[in-house]
Amino acid sequence: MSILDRKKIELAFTQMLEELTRDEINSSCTLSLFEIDPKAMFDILGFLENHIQKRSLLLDLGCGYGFLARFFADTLEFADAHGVDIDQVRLEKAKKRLHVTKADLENNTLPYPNETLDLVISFGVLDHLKFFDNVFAETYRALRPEGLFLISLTNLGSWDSRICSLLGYQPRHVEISAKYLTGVPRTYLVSVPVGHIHTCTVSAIKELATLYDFQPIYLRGLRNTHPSRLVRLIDTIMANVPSLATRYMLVLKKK
Amino acid sequence: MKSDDFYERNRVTHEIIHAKRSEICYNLITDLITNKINCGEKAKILDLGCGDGKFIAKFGKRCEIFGVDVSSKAVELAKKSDVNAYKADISCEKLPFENEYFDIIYFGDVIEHLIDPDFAINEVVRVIKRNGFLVLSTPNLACWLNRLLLLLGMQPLFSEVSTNKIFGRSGSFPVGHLRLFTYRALQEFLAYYQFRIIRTMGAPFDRLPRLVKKLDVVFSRIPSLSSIVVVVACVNRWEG
Repeated sequence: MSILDRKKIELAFTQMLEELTRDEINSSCTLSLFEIDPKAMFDILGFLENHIQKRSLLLDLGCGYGFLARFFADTLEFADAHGVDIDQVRLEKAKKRLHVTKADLENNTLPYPNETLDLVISFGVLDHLKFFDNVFAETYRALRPEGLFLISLTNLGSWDSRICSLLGYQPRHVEISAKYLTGVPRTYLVSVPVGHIHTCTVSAIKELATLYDFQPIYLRGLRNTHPSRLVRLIDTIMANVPSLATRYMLVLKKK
Repeated sequence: MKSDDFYERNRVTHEIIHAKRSEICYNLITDLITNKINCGEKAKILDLGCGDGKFIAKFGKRCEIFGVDVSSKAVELAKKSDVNAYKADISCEKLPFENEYFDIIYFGDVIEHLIDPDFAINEVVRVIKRNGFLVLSTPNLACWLNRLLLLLGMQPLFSEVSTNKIFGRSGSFPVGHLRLFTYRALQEFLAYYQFRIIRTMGAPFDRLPRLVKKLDVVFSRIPSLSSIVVVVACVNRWEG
């Protein structure tokens, strides 16, 4: 991606942030990650730019307020962007940005015929589900051959979770209560449950994707934010090794 | 897949898989009945997630036995073993019992299958007597083997994100685990709901390669490192 494009993306990103309310921004962890680490955003957009075959329809699974889907669709010049979510309140707001449908990703089929989608994106959604199977099966069905599926997810094998587990603490993204955050060290920024059920390691999600006939073609760690400079430094280093990163983006290609 | 369907099809009988854990729980409950419960009449015991009811049926002679399960097939089987069994999804449905009804509630390797453990434990708090006991067992996310596995970037034992297959480690079939507790998290969780742990024991996991199993037996002496944790907790409520 050329430098001119980067400036354009940066401008579009800043414009998007200005239009959003604080609540909306806080609703998306990915947004704050892109904010602190714009290079991650350029990287993923650059990769998608080079690998997308057709640009007619993009679908965001768990679209929330819909701004990330809109942003990706605009930047990658998609003809149309759709979103599904379970939360009616957010869907009402997302309506002005996308064509939206209410759906429960765990149990419902996606409201699209076979082989109609070109790009499916999902940011921090799978870890809110009981099981990942329906999402993979349905995405596979609705994607065009060679269509892409972008997953951004928390990592059970992240460097901090490995340390926690070694010392007998609860890994941050395996929450056992929706009310009270139990068993994790007090060093985490967010000290309330965020609704995560469980998540998996990078190798596990790759295996899972392969079972559903996807081919992993891109993997990139994301870095997180933390008040401590030391933690930030470690995290920045670890983000270069996706299997140790706190979060990652994975692009899968339908075989 | 809906959880109801999952458990209708894969009714897990823990008896066979977790012989040692069942034995420990059996001994703990027997001890409670003999030494701690003295209410004059027969003690009332509830098995949450009773399966075929074989476990709780062992106490049938000495106690009034009750069971709840999400699978209707399991409830039918449990009734055949003379358990007062009811069908309910304990992660979202109220238990069909009045307040402060049970002397002992046995919650054996079930809490990790629930989408909403908070709801279930609130119901436990409601139906347990003020001098009652909760016997709870669950796999330990931070057992000694998992600490090593995750350190190496492998998916920990007991942890699964698909109902079709186990990913990220070897394993035969998923059993529907959703929320896995470390021993530390379990302690904090129970304390939050006003339970006081009076006894903790570790139990080994039976489905491990032989050599690893030997080590697992050794580590099962230390609850925070053991594969399965069993706790006995009493209610710590003081109503002013």
